[in-house]
Amino acid sequence: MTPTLAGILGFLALFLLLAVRMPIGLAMMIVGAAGIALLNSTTAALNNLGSFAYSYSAVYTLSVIPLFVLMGAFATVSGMGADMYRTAFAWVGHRRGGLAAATIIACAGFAALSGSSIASAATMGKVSLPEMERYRYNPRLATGAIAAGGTLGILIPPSTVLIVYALLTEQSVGRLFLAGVVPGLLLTVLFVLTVFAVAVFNPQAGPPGERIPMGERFGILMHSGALIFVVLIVIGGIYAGVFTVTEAAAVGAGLTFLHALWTRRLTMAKFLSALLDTIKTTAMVFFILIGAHFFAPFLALTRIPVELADGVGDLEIPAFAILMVIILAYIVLGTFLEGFAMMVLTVPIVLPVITTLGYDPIWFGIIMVLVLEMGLISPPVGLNVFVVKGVAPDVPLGEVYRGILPFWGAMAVGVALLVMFPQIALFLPDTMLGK
Amino acid sequence: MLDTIERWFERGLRGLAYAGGLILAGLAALVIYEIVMRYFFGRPFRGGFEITELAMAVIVACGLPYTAIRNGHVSVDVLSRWLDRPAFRWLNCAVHGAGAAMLALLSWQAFDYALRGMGYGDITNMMRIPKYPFQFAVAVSTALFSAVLVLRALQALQPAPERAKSGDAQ
Repeated sequence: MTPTLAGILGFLALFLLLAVRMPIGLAMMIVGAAGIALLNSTTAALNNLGSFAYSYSAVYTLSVIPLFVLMGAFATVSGMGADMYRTAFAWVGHRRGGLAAATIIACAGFAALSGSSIASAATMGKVSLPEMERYRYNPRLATGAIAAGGTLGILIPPSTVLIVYALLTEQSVGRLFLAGVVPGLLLTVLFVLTVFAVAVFNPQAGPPGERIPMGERFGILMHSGALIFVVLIVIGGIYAGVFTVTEAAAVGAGLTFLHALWTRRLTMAKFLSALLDTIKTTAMVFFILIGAHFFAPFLALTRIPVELADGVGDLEIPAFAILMVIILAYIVLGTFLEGFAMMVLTVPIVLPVITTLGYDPIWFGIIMVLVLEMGLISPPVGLNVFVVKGVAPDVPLGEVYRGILPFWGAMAVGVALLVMFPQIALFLPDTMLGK
Repeated sequence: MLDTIERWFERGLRGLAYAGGLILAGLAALVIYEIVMRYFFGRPFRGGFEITELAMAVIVACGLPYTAIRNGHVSVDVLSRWLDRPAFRWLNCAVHGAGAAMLALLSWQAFDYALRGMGYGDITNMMRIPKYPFQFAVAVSTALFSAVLVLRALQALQPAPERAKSGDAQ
């Protein structure tokens, strides 16, 4: 069998196993190990089986994943999300659509502590949805804002998705985090503008909340002091070179833990449940990573990525057109594939093409996260939508999706802006870390 | 019967996951201790890197089987409406069974790998900690993961149509 044919059969087998609901890590492991046995040798495949699960867990740089997840879990317990919402409410709540805008801003703030979209949407949903119901917000706008705002969790650093992308592509985590900052802020602004636009077209959708005097607003801002402090220490520490990304994650986990203790919100039960959630997320991510380490060498043996990149390089089609096709394909894939899964499956094939076309892998990582975010809120399997549905069980799923539509449009605008002006992502890492 | 087994099994695996969580908390404390020593006492602690690596293996090993029994490993859910029909229970059983077989093979090879490492004295560079206990932990973890899938394969054959499945991800 030629390596190319083996590769094609491997992909078919993989999609078949995924279709019958085999966990993605396991499916990649089976296909990868079988492929290595076929193209290399059975001994090599068995040796990989024996060593990979250990050698791809016992990695120093990977410790950032559980540590950042732990930081997010403690931040959730400590009520920093609620504090952030109160602050955002004080500043924009009195405008039309202000509560939804406050939700977006609070999500952005919380995203700076949490690398997960699900956690962001769940935390902010519990805080902001009752408020929006109290002010008789249109449920479409309310749920749409939470689902969309939650997606900021994986763009604004720290981000588990960006860490995994960094590992898969051998890029620097710090550089990717820096590259996510401005696009994250840009997307926040686009979401807030979307909320206000919805409120202008449909004044009933988002009635204004009470106006809080300027003097008090600064007082309330202090409530979010802890969150701002932790973000400054963690993100600032990485950029200033005071600590490594791993150290920043540990410090962040320590600080959010202390804050949760200080606010007396941390009970023993909550501490243990934060640990349990963290371990579960960690194991989920690592199992995919371990599986990907079986699939990647198999793909390399098939030479498909190299040949595809060469073939695309020889095409008489402008690079931009190919990029558009890739982005569109990702948007379609994202509607039914889980984000991590989609990334580990496609990056080994797509990245060589992207670099052959002359695009920057860091910039592409940010584009990819944006597109993953669009998948998180689009039917049929938008994970964030299900989270929001869990918080707002009375709102029909169709209503949530309709509410999301304008935000989805805002994300498309975000992707278009990033494609037109790659500097939005690259400016910060290039100036702070050099080219 | 199977559900009783699952309940007890889940309880045991949860204990393991708690242990992993406490190790992670300890790891965070160690990293912070390292920073404090470096900046405030000018005495960098050199073993941190290796301890982190070994701890990571244990943390992942403690979490894998618990995540499996909580259906926390990511899978693609698009065809669930069809696959949950009774007609497909043999297929579901086979999928879990294949997964269990794969992990059993992996676990066996991982035991072998750990034994070989123990044989020639595979140790870390700086602190000279033997690696084999941590490699054994991974082997045991994948064996437990395989057992979870055996349980799932048997459950798939049960006629009970409505089984609560909680899939959480990311």
